[in-house]
Amino acid sequence: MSSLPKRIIKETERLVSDPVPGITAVPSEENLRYFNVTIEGPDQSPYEGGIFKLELYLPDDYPMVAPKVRFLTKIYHPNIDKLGRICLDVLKNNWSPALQIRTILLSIQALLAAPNPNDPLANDVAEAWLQHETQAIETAREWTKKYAVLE
Amino acid sequence: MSSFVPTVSDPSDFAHCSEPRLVEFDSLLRCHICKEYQTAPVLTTCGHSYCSVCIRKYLIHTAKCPICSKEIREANLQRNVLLEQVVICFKTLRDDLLEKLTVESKVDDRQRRGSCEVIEIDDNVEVDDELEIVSETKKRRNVGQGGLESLFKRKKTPPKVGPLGTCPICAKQFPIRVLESEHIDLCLNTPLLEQDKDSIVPKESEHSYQKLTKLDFSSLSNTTLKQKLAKLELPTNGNRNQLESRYNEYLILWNANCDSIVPKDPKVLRRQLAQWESSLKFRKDDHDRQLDKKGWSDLIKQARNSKMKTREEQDDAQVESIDIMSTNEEDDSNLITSAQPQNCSIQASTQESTDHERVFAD
Repeated sequence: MSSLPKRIIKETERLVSDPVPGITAVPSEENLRYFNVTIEGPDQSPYEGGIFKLELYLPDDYPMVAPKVRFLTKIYHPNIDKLGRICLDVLKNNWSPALQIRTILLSIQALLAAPNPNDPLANDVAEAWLQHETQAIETAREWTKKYAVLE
Repeated sequence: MSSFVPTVSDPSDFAHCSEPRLVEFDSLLRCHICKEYQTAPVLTTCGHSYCSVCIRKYLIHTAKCPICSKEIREANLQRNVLLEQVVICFKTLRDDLLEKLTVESKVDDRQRRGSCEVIEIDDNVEVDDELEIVSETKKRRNVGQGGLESLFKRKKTPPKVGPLGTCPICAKQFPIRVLESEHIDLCLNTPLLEQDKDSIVPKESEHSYQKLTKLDFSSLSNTTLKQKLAKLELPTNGNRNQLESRYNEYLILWNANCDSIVPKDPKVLRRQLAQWESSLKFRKDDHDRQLDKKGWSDLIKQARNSKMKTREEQDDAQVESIDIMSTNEEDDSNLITSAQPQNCSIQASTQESTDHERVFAD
């Protein structure tokens, strides 16, 4: 870890000193490229009231390649599979080094507010979402209560 | 965190000075890839500007502009001389500017608090008695906040012994009166090349560095490649892969350096190359160690355990025919889960990986 790029230092500094509302990202002490992230479920979404844990890792080639992000908290969402992997364009083909950790986490928060069952990662969830939306939203709410709400 | 903060400058440094709009100006001068002030900036065909090194490195990954996603090619990058001069100029002024604007905002605050209703001309306030806007209304003061205006807008007839000011063009100190009435005009009308050698903005020097060309490694023997490296005074040790990536990295450093109006000595570039190479080695060692010690042995252990478990469960299942499918599925997902953190974040601590398992075992 002798040479952490200035860009990472700067992003970390800003994430800690001027955090995005509803999002926290704290670097691990052992590895400054590994972040423990929490995202609050957006208001008026089935995830409202939940606090979702994620892990974020900056590969050696960052920012030439996208950060790797994964949900650690179980979540019922058509674009997030049961391993927590996220289907989001900016994490894959649409990554650009002009984006940053902050913008990626905001995109993920937006994905929670607007699930897109037409581009699914979790096929069963997406199908449920398309066929019985009310039921699916109810399940998402239950899961949020069960896994993402701390007593 | 605080231990490494002082070495990094950021647009937000201006957020608490008397001219917070400089935050935007500061960030405009920075590269969208490395977030530093642009070094040897180059223009893309779509009109965006990046450090030459940064965009050249990125184009190896993706041939698109990071800002607008238009397709761009390395061969079409053009040096952006004016921007480089602006950046160098601003970098030179930055600390002074920041200091002055921070001091003045304190003075300004004090004065504003003292006279809420009517702004009076207060001869005791050193900085503000120079200002043209002092006699104007409170509204105007609040908009301008005294910051930049107090730096640049001086009275036309200043007191007898005028304070010194720095010429924004040649960076020399003159009494404000002289600066305003004659010096700036003079300075502006002197062609760049005739200016003093301690000018703040470096001249566009004629350097003899020629850009290097990409090599077609497939048609190159080891010996020829080594000769090429030796000619550039680069090390010739290592395997074929190392030789090739060494040449490619140096090609980027070299060509980017050619885009600068103040190119560095090749010695500096060779030092950068050596640093890059040692950081690569460091990374590789790190990965190997992690995978050997933790990754592989853990993975193997986990795979064996879960295979045993599956077998036992299958035996059990013959007795009580419960839902085998779901148990198997869970085992699989456990295996994948325990492998996942190794891929995604090799250095996640053991505690965290047990966390993952707990989360997904539900």
